[in-house]
Amino acid sequence: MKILIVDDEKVIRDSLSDFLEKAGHSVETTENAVKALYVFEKGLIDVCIMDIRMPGIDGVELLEKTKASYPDTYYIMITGHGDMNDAVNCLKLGAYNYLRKPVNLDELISNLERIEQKEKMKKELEEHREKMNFSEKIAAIGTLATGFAHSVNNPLAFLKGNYEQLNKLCSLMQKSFNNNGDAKDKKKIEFLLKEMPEILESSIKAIDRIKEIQKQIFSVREGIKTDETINIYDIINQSFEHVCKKNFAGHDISLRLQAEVEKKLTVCGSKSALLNIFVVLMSNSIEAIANLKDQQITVQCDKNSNGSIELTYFDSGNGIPPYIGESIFTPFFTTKGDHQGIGLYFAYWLAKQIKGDLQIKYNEKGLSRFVLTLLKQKKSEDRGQTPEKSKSKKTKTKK
Amino acid sequence: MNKQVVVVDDEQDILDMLRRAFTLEDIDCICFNDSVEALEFIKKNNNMIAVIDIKMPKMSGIQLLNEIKKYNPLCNIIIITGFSSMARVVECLGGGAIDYFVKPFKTTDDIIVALKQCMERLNRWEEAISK
Repeated sequence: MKILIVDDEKVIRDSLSDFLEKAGHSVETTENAVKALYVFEKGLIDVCIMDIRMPGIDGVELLEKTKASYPDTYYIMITGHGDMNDAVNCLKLGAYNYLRKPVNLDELISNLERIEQKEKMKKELEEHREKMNFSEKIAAIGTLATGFAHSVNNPLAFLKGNYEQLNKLCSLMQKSFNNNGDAKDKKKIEFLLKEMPEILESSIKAIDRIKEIQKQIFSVREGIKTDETINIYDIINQSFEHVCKKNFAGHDISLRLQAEVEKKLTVCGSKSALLNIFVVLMSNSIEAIANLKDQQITVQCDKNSNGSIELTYFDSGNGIPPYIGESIFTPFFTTKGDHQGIGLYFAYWLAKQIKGDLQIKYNEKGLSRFVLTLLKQKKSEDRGQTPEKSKSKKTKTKK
Repeated sequence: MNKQVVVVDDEQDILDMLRRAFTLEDIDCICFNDSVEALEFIKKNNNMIAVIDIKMPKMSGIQLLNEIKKYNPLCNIIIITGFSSMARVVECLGGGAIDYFVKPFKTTDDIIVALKQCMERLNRWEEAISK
């Protein structure tokens, strides 16, 4: 392990470093806090052993500073007789342990051994977690893939049926050209010709729908960016336009964005993911409120104390009853027929991918609300390429 | 016996496609994109043949099947489904459906053959009853 010893007394520094080097550790020593900070900056320190009483910046202050910047390092404090209060204080600040002067070397070694064990376990746990995450992701993609494959069935079904009918028309017409057709065939030809615009229109619709599904698969395959800067106000309006104008042109639905949704409020995440989340929520809403007098969708925005943004989404419909609310994010769960029950699961999955969260909550009247939590954009970060990328995306969607 | 075929699917394009396919074969049919309305109609008109999609809002195809069977156990019900899940199909067949077709259909002619068989069966019943 890499160990740093901070002590103003040369004797202690030397004896400890001698001892620890012999025990197989790599040791650096400094006589004051300022130099210690330099060493910290140079590279990772596994364990820092420091005296509490030092001239200038003392051990407590140094601990406060280093713990904030290097939280993964273990800190062992060395205390004299009089500073028990400080020692306890250091534990509160996150020190691993304290050792009394004169330092008992066996005690020091046992402390270091415990740290090593702890680190080993931490690493194993992390590896395990990574593996878990990976298999979870694979499972999620599998579920999504099944959902997508599934949602292609319906458009394929009527597309295929339509083509069968065109095929029939063709052979019927050939037959009658060769003067082999009878009155019955003629009637069929007339019927099919009359239906022709509908057949063609519905076939084009099927192809568009399959294309739409394919686009979604691509957006998943490309991976979801988590670092795009997104204007929430724009995204909500864009989704609303997309859903209402495209699929529900006849309805007179109003979108009410509460004043708190500032026009310039930005969050961190993926534009396409966020757009998809709102499209799913709004498509659900519009179906729920399509036959109501009051057709309204409301989005409220709150800032959490930890800097994240909380968007509360609800419509003027009856909402989702609590007994359904529990299972609403389960894949293939649906209360409707024409959707495959993958929408909300997809939205939830996307929210998780951009490190946010999508939950269903109930207000005091028992009405359901979707709460979407998003990470606020980091101010200090310089993102060189992202604006270009998002631009190219925009033109894509326009096409 | 009312041999008009009741077709129930919440997807209008599927309905249109089936309506055309059936009409071409001179099969008299009526389409519903709402299972509750379809049930009302069947109760009122005593239809003996129905083609039903499994996944529908309000009332699923399985529920509709059970409701129809409660009211008219002799009704010939054909299931169409986008689910390749056998569990659902088995549930429908156990509930008294006579046949099932998975979307996308190999050919709609298969459904037409099944419908024509239903009609023949109903004709035989009619003959038997009249004797």
